[in-house]
Amino acid sequence: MKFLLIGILTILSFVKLYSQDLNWWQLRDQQQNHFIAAKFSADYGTVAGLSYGQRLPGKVSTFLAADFSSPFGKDLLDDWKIRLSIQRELWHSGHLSFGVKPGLIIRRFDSNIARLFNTGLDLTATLGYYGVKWTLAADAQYDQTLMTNVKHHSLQEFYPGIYNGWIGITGGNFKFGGQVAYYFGGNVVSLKLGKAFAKNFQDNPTLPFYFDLGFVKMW
Amino acid sequence: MNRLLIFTFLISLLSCKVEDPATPGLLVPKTVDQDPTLPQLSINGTLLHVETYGKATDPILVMVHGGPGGDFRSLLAAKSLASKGYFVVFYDQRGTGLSQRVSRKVFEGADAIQLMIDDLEKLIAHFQVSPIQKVFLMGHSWGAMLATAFVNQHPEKISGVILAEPGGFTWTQTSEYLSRSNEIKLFSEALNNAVYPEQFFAGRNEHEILDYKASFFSSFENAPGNTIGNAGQYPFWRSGAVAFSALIDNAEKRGFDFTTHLKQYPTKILFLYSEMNRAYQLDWAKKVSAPYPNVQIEEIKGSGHEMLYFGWDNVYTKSLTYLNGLK
Repeated sequence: MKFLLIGILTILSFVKLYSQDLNWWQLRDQQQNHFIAAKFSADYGTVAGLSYGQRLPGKVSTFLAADFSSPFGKDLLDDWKIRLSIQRELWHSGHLSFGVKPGLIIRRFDSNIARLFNTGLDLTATLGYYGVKWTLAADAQYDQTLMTNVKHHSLQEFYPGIYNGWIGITGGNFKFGGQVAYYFGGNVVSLKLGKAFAKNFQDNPTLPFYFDLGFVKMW
Repeated sequence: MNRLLIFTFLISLLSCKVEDPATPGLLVPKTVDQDPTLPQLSINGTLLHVETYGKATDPILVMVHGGPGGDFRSLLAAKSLASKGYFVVFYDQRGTGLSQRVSRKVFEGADAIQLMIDDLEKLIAHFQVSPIQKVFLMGHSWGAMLATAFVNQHPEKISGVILAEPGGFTWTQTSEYLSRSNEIKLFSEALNNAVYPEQFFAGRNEHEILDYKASFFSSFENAPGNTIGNAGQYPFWRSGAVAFSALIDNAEKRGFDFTTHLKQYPTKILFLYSEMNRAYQLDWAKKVSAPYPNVQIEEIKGSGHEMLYFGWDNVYTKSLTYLNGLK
């Protein structure tokens, strides 16, 4: 998995790249209708991911995207997250822009303890300066779980009466941070950094910070 | 056709039974206040899950489990000592295992470790039928720290102590051990197994959900190649998430030093460390046990930190010899 990611990043570094969150200022003047993206991130684990997006018809730039990500580790693809999202600019004034990205999430986790299969919704809002050479923006995201299907492994041995099946809302989490993207020689390197919180701001994650190194190629 | 498929999918989704994850007994076992059939004892203002084995007039051996936030399920092999003339008492500490859940405020508003020491004192007083009945403690990990904290305050009440890999007897020492034993590999499956579920369970305050979520962390400490040498998963009833985090917070804020009066305890103690725990070797065992004036250090071969479960045969032999020498 690690070598696959390094290979993808190497290939993408030789082609024209854009930041993973779209540069609306550039998109207003250009007729690019597709993008692919790769990312390496720390997000509830050390994670690699790929995305594909396509412009939807309409006057306002709107992209429909699908993301797939999976954490590193010896058990390939036992844990993963798929997000279907719509990314749209809501407001702009010159180089300043405000966009939102609502998404539907499907994710899976498996270990010797239990298998979890979860659905959720998230919303990301981004406000920033989108220039020719660089982007500087602030992000806020909320991720709400909906339903989770649980199937227990060792917990079933320890507690034979444990429930297997669907459970309701198990929580939600916030992310607050910023992103910077630098354009050089037709390429872009973008970096997001921020902090994650549980929705009650008490039961916060063990790894409280996230970062995301992302690349996008559009055509 | 597509509409029919989507409609069928939605109907099947809506018709499936969805349970509230906080329902008692759904994802973690019920505690003594929720299930009156469990063996229990009201001690020091809380309801504890307690099991005893043996003759009540025999010398008492109190088993003190690890964690904090663990439970005594993985120590149950020690009940075999009942047939050797000991009255073996198991208890889940306040707010842990099958004992009654307690609010975080109970720990935050007090010296939480003192509360645990007081619980142990009341438990011993409950079972001790005469002042000459001897009382021994066998503590594992955090339980060995708590046992030492008790001996430090009440040396006259304890006739002997078996300590299995206490992290340390001061907060500084314990922090040093924890940082060494919790080695994190960023690209490992063990890390994912512990932290990836935290995006599924976040921000609901019910203890049932917090305990369930904490159970996923057990796969980290027991993952293949783990630093502390555990051979795999060992059984537990519930991960006492609130007790764990509250006691750690309490220790960080207040610190502790359980060594202040240990010089006044002349009795030989049995100090066990495991062969497979790379974070806890002979040098560390000597350093931690040094405040006791009379120490017998023994290595438990073929086991890691959870030696009372994975290395019980070896622990049993050494413990029985030690206890019989003081009986």
